[in-house]
Amino acid sequence: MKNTLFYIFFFTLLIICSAKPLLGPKTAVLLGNIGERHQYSQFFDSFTKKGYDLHFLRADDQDITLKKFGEYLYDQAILFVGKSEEINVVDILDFIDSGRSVIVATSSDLSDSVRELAIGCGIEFDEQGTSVVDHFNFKSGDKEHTTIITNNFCDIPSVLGDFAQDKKDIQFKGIGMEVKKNSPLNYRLLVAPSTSYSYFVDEKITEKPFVIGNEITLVSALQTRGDARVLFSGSIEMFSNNFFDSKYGNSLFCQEIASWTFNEKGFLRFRDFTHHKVNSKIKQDYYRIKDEIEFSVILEEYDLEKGWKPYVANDVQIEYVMLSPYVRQTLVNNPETGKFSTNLSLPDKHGTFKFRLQYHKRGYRFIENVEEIPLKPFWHNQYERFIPVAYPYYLSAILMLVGFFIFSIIFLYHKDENVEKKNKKAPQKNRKEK
Amino acid sequence: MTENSFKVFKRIFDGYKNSATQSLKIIDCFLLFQFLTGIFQFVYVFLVGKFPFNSFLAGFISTVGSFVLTINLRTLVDPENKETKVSIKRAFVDFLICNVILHLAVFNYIG
Repeated sequence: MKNTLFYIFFFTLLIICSAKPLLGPKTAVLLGNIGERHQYSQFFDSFTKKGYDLHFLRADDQDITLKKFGEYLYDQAILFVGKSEEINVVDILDFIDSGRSVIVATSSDLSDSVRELAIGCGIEFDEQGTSVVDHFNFKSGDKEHTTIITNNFCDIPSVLGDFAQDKKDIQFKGIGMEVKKNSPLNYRLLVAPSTSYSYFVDEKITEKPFVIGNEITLVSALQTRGDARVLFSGSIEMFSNNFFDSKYGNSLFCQEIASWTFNEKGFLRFRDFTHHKVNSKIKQDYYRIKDEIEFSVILEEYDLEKGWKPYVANDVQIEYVMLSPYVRQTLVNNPETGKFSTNLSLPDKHGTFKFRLQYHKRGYRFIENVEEIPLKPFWHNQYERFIPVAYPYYLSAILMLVGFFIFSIIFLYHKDENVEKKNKKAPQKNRKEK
Repeated sequence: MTENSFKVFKRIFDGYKNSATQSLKIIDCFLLFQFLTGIFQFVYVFLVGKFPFNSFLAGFISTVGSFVLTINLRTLVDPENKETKVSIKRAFVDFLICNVILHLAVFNYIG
């Protein structure tokens, strides 16, 4: 009786939680020590509730392979490597290049291979053994001032999600990293307070630290052009149960950024990239200069519960480009269908143009699509005729022709009297000279 | 002063009237007509602007081209012309053919 009740409960739970991770549920979790998973049980439970299938592996294990016979065994990966475990950097970079997302968390005790992995993603961690120290913003009771409290979050709503409404301070204990400020693919999600610095805790400071103040990035993310997202955190303890205190915002923050990393938020796709002349549904290979075109595209966003739902925004633009955009217009959004459309007026210059949709919004997947459509000049009989402004010119050309006819008639058939008089005069002159 | 200049102009004009044959006078009238039409078009494009530039060019070329061809005819027909000895018929046929070609091009380009 109890068994059947349990099974009924389990199946209903399965039906309710029909959440589908985008690439697939299989997630590899690499830990230094498998027993550690209980320290992060709240964080991992949030994944299992969403339908992820976590496989716990030991990071040091030489035998773990992410790939078997050319196919990836896992769709995502979480690396909690804070006890100087050596990881296979090449394998993980390949994993990222294939479009699969990774969360990497480390600590002051990171190994060289983790530093190498970070450099491969555009992020530089400080030396092994250093910590982020702050003598003004530390957790009370911490003697070494390495558990710092910060609230400098990034300004990207699609990453922060629900956390944006309920921002609380975050506890952080670990190593700092440096992310170049004008990098287009790296986002600095959590930054240290301006009073902090990154150095060895026990040593006296004799030289300028690697990063200080607001330059220290604590949590950063990389969005690759292959649609993979990589999250780097300098602190594993930020994800631990001890730090998921209700006084601080660690729990919600970590869940939100992890769900963004695993493509649950801000993952867009486009379809139905269509363009045709206004009032005509025919798809043409080319257009003529000064044509009026209707363009539309459908953008959708992935939602964990509902699958693909229409994307709502008012800053998507379409460009008509030949080396540089001749036309650039913002598309008008229809919230129910996710259709973005507008009417374009093609330029006056002929050549090989292309329609380009480029949408690089921070926190969203990069949307790029290019379709080449040549633009042909007017045919000889497509120019405007009988323009009123030009009537004088038509008139003058006709007058010339008419004048020519009349002149030629007169010229040919007139009677020349002067010639006879001259002929009579000329012989007389000659006689006189003689 | 002005009386003198008036006399000079009258003398030139009388000299012209006496020496020119009838055909030359007819040609000269036609030349004047073409010249005035050309000036009129030029002033018009100055005022209104170059919008159908091809129409302007076609109209202007029709006047200028006709002017040039008519001058050519006058040179060949003039009895005081000693260098080129061409019969009037030959001169007129040249004039005819060239005008046809000119107006063909003009009406194609005038748009």
